[in-house]
Amino acid sequence: MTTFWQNRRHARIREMLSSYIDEEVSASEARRVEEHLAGCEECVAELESLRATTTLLGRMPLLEPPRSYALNPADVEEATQQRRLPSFESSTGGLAAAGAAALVVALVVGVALLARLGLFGGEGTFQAAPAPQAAPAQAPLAAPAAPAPAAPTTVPQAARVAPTVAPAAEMAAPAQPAAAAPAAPSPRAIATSAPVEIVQEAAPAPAAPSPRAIATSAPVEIAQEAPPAPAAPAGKAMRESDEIKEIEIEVQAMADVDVDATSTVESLPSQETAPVPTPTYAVKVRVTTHIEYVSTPASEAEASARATYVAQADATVTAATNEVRAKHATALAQYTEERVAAQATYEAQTAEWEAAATAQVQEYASQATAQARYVEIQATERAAQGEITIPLWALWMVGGAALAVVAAVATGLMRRRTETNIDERDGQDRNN
Amino acid sequence: MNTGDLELIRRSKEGDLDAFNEIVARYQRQVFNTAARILGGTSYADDATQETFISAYRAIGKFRGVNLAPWLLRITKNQCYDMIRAMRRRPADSLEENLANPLVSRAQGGRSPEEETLRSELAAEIQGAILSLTAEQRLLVTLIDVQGFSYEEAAKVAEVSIGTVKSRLSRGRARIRDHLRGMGELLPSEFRQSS
Repeated sequence: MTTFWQNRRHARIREMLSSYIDEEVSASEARRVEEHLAGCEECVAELESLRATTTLLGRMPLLEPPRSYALNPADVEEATQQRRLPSFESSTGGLAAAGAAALVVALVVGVALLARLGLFGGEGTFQAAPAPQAAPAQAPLAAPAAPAPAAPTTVPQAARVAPTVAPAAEMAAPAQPAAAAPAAPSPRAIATSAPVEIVQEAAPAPAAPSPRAIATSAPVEIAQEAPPAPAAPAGKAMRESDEIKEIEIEVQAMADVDVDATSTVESLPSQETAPVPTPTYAVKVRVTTHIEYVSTPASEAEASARATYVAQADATVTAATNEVRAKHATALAQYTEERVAAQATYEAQTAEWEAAATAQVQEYASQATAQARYVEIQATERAAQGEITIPLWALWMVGGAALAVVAAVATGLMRRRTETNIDERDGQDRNN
Repeated sequence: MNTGDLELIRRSKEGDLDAFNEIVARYQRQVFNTAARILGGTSYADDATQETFISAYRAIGKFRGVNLAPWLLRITKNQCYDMIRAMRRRPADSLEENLANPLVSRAQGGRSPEEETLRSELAAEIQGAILSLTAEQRLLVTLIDVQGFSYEEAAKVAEVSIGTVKSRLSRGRARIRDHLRGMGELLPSEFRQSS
């Protein structure tokens, strides 16, 4: 029993030794310690070891701060801002949370603004649509025009041939301006029938000496709806010394028109600006017969023979002329037929294009109408709700931002709590 | 309380940064030493000291006392506790790593060879012994044994009662003693005799 009390006292004294060293015990406690130490070597040793420890700790050198911690104005500014926004501490976590919160808030605000501006959702497609919508207005005009050259393209190469054929027989195509003659198929058709050249050898003159030369010219002019031939000097007077040497039949072009089918095609106006004119073709052929007797007929018979010969020659020329005319007529008919067919094809294609373009325009128009209707419905719904419709994910973002802000505020408050405690205890310092 | 603290406090409350920096100059050594002993390393102590004075500038408008040291060291203590808690959450930033950056004494004045030895090897061992304590024990040992604070002042800083100061200090000292007993020749003679 005595041992128990002794141990208990011993333990209590040991606990007091530390304070006893610092004289932080009351006088009665000090007396009890000293009484115990007088009879307890263990506690004496304990006391000495503790005293040595405190001595050792007291010899610990004071550390010199590595730098001055004087605040500069930037620190003060930061501290002032932190005072205003205590939730956003300058700790790493606080900064990260604040940054994340700011980012999320900025995102949400930006998205809300964009949504309000109609850059998302249904309105967005509507904003993008008007551009194509404008295009179709132009398209119907341009689109049909482009394929146009395709139709007549079979022609131009043949058309080029026409001028080369011209010396023999030239059809002067159009009374209309050449440029206006689409006329592509015609030159080819005409070209095939072009060369009309009749040269007859002059029959030997029955009577040799011809006292006087009789020049008979038989101009043959075949014109359809043509102005008077400019009457180029037809043929040339062949003057033979004695007999008629030859009969020359010339078929000359009355108009030297170069039908440039290629340029015509290229300049083919669009359906809307200038309808393809119905061309009028004129075939003008002048056949001249030159029969010239240099000598004077020796007798009636010879004179008669000469007359017969001239008549025969004229008849031959007339026949040749008719033949040329017929060929031209045929060619013209063929051309007309082909051209009509081409025109029909062209018109059919044009109609088809126009129909397609119209359908496209109508489609765009219906789309625009639908878009407008959609926007209208949305506006109506919004008006009904009195709010901007916010997508679900935006709500999620707002929620996330709120959480981040709450976390940042909580972090800041936790960090500030200790300082708050300090402030609360400031009153104690006043008593010092 | 240092002479003139009241005037510096008054001017600091009016936003006089020069006056506050005079306070910093007066107390930064105490603050830094307390932080360094509690945290066990100069780099963390540097951060803690800086944060202490920034927090103090922020809060000085609400300071109603006349004694700056306990107030500043309370802020230091809270700053250090926060950092210790943060280090526990991030084991990579442990105090052990901080020990790899041992405290470098910058004490001024001439030293005897014995003091040099103590300063180098023994000081590192003692700091290791201090770090073996709890943070609360470390604070009191640092304040009372290293810096010479009274129990009453230490109680204000630690925000505990005098009784708690006594018991924590007693356990802390005993633990340091036990820790140092294995050091043998490094110890001063009186310490070896008592062990």
